[in-house]
Amino acid sequence: MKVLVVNNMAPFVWGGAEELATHLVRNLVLAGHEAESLRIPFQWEPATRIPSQMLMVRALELWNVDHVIALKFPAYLIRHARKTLWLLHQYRQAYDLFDAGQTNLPHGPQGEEIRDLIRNADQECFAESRHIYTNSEVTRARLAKYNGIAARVLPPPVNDPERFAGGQAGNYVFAGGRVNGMKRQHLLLEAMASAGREARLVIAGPPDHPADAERLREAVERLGLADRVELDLRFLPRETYARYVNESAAVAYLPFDEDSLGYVAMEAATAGKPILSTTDSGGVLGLARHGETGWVVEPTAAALAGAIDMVFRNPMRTRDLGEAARASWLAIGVDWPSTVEMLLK
Amino acid sequence: MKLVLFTPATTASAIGRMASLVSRALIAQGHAVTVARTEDASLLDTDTHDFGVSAVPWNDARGLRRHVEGADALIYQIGDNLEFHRGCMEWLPGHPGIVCLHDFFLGHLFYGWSGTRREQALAVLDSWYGKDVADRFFAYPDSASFIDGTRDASPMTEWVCAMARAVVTHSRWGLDRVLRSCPGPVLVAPLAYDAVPDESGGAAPSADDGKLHLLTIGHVNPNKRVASMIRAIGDSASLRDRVRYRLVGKIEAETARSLTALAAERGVDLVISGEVGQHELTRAFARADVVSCLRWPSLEAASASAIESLLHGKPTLVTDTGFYRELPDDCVVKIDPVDELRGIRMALERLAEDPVFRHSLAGMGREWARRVFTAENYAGVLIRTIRSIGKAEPMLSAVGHFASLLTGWGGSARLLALEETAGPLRVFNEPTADTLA
Repeated sequence: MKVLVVNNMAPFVWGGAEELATHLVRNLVLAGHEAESLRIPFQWEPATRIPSQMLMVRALELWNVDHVIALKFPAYLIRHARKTLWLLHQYRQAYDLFDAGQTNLPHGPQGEEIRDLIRNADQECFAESRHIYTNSEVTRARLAKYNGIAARVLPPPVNDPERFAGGQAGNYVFAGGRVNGMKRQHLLLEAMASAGREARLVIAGPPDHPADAERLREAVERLGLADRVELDLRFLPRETYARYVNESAAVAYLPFDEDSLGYVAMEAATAGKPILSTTDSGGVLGLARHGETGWVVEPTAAALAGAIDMVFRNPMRTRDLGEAARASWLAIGVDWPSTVEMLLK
Repeated sequence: MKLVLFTPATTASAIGRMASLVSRALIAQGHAVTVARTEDASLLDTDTHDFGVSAVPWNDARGLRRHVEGADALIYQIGDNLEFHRGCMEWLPGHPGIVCLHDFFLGHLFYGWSGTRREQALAVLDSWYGKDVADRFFAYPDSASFIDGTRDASPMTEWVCAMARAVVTHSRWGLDRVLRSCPGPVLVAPLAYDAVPDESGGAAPSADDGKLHLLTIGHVNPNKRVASMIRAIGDSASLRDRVRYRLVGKIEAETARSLTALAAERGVDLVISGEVGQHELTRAFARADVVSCLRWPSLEAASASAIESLLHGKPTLVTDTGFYRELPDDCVVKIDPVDELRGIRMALERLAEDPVFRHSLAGMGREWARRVFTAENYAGVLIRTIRSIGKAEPMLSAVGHFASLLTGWGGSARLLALEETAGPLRVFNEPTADTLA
């Protein structure tokens, strides 16, 4: 079968969704299909430009394609007679973030019109789709609440599980992934200032903007953490990233209201590392459960300091939580062959 | 080419008269014209202008559809009046064509059209102008406040032009709204007009009574500035003694009473003739020394009476606004609406005292009007417009596609017209208006 994976593209921005699309194509090929990806540019600022981008996607015509797997708004608006959605993102600023007053849509009637436009276009697209899967329970629940669509959760597999075999617990907590304000690495630094002296922290990953890196460096300097915190702020080779995970005592991942389980958490669990997260981290809590697979605390420096101390206070307990995280992840039973099969149904 | 011309045909319609000239010119150029007359059913048995072919009534759907489906282009003559243009509004939405726009303000046409479809009308208003304007549109207590409240906020120009595949209009005034709303080409062309025999013109007073005969024609309403004319004449002792001011055209009794009283109070010789036939109208022009075509506010795309006055070779007063501003400075006298009384008085005093100026103005105006306002020119513009539509077809098709997508998602025409939406799509190239004037 000729399968096209359709995703958005923000030039020179690379994250989990891009990795997922790449590995989906790879695994489709491994399963014996012809597969390619189509990446459609999308710029959400200013929001008044969104309607024209929706129209452009809708105007595209595909041929010589047997099946489409579309991942994100507005790329999923592309027309095809056999289209399955693996929904990573609706445009949340037209849904829950709109209701929460955290939208980038203009205030007043124009913003409301664009919101309605997005919702109606989504509705039309969902109605014409063959199957709809979501990447997490959070995304599924939002889809049900706002669009009345019953979808099935299909969590993305870890792309290269063989790299995350685990290993001897080191003396640091690892915070990996993209570095930005929403991922709240800065909060971990504030916590480290009042955590025990034996605690170590490694923050490693690409900053979204230079200011995100500068913010962390400034905090390390200001809080006198240079001897206990390592900042490795760059796009890491995959083996370097995996080594940081495998050799850590625990993995901290505390994004604000993440939609999905999060690659960082899934890879930590694959490696048998306990997950340290916060109560407002959304989909991550599908894997991080306090006292079962790690620690889930209030998103404050004090609470996080307490959790970091717990990582090092009882290594046996920490190891057990890591094993439980691995077992919990394996119990979900997510792997690429079955995922590909579902997406091509 | 095979053309269907939707137009009022009754002799009472000035637009119909113009369209009849164009129809004959098109036929003379070798085109096959079908005339679809568009008046209300109650007017469809009235006498018609001579179009060179017989007219098919708009409500003869079966008879007309055959012509429409076989036509190279449909041409709609549209003015601000449902009574004469009902057939246009019945056919245009489903059968887009060239709109010849005789009025930029189409509020009365829209108001009439909305009579049996209020909800749809409110949606149209909301889409183009927003909810506040929609809520106000039907709430004005009288005609004057309706015009005041809607002429800028909701003139409905966009409503008609958005349904057109091309627009031919008759002045650049108000053009922005046309360009914003019409997806196809927009051309500016001078109205077509009858030639007027030489003997009916002339600058010298035609009535041998020593008076300066001043004329205003058309439905007497406040925007024709008759009261201002009377006041300006009354302000000047020389004008009071010399001017006889005649009004020819429909006039309500109350208006006639108040203007008569004003003239009596100011010592002005006012003659109110009311509605007259074409023959008497021609005589009125012949007897006139000066014609006032003042308008404020100005709502028309072009003024038939001003053109007629020029063609009759009469010195003509116009308001320095809209269509009238585009007339050449050496062919008319332009009155500043902000200093209207003084402007009228000074212009009339000069015209009364300076026969050379009067003669020069009349001659220049007539020569220019004869050259520009011809049916042959207008027919040429229509044919050129049809060819432009052919070139614009891919763009129109793209616009139609995007518009249908957007409206299918609940988006409004206003959202599609935003630069943020239309600009990146690059199918809505910055429109320009051709001018043939």
